[in-house]
Amino acid sequence: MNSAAILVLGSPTPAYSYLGSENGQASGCSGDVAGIPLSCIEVLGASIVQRTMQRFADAGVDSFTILADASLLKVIKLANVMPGWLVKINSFQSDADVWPAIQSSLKNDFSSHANNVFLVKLGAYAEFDPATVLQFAENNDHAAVRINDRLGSVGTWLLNEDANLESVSKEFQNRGQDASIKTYFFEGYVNRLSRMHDLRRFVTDVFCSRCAALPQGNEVKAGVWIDDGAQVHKQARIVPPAYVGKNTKVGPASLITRSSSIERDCNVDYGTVIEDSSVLAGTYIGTGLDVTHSVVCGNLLVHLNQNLVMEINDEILIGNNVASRLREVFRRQDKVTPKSSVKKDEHQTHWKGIL
Amino acid sequence: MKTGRPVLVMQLPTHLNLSEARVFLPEVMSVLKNDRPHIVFDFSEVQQIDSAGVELLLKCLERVMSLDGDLKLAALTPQASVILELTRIDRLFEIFASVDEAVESFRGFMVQDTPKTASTWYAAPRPANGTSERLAG
Repeated sequence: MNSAAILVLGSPTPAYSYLGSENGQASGCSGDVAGIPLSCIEVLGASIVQRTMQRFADAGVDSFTILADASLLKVIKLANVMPGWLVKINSFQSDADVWPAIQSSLKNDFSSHANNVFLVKLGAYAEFDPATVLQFAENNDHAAVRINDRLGSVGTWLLNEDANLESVSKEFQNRGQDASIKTYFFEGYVNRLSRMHDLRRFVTDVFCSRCAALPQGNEVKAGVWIDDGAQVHKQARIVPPAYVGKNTKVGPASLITRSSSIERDCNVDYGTVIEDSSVLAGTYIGTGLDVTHSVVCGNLLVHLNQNLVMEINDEILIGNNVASRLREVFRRQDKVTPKSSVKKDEHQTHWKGIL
Repeated sequence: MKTGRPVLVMQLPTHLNLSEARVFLPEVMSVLKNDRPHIVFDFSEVQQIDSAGVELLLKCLERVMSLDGDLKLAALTPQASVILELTRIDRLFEIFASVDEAVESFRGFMVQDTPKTASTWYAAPRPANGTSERLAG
């Protein structure tokens, strides 16, 4: 039996919209970072979109369609979301275009011999078993099934060709429940990722094995995951549980502790402490800083205890990691420069590539 | 700038960055001429601090300490508080919730307000009626 999945990524809020709120308080913020929904942001090496697709693929779903807001597609590269997978990506311009785009995708999937289609309104990370849901729908002969946990819908429906799309549309647009759609309850892990605190909660939940998700990379010692190409200085200290992402550099005398995660292409400079924090991809953290109870993304710092979002326009403190932006340039230069003329880095011996 | 005797309270600018620091630092240094200056920086208006602002605070502290005085911070906004914590300089200063509390805290160090200690009593014998007195202040 063929199954397909349609993942819908909602329209992002305008970048830094929450900075306009009074005193920069992160009151309404924060289902997004700089206009990118939390479900598209890499956490522990993979985004919620990737993790959701992987779960569906493991259950035998073989066709994926991502429907995303056109403005979102300008800031994220969904084409790279699952390298090597055949994923159709369609865009919509406004909220009014979402349902027609879904209908069109459903029609395509059913016409290409899919018996069932999972419709996922992305936002929440929910660990239900798609195979069990398929079994539930088949055994009870339900045309449309909504998936709920104890708090309500997790934004996922299973539909077959006979499903009443009118009623699904009504639920999809949060206009109440329809009796023709049956409910599948599950008791697994759910994180609705509605604000930044949920992102940190997801990290700690993964580290504490409260959910089935795992950090990417290799577990080099108990509770410490290091991804490909990460460089951790021998004088740096990493206290488990912790995650260091791809091509990230952790400088001497720095300390990563209390369930902190540092995503790919970051640079944590000399003597800096990262405590109970997540540093998102491509971020530079300056020398001798104390980053605590925060999520840092480029020059944006979200302090979770103070419930405060700050833009720090000083690259000496925090900012975008220039190295990650220039890496591609250096790679091109490496290809051009003959090996014999490359000067050996005197300090190279101080760095150890874990992998 | 609000001045009071003997504590000097200075209002910091909204954006404590390089350009503001260049204006503010000479202003502070000009008043740091007397011995044992007592200064309070009022952060109630501060919305943004960068590394130049942090350096300004450290320079002021260094100068005040060299004159045997003290520099205290008051009324920190959440933004200022986060930056001071981030750069670890919060631990170098005494920080107070309000300017009044910061000013009040200096009283303990003023000689005329100091209660008579045992050694003071040795210098000035206890009055016959046995009541404790404070030096005039």
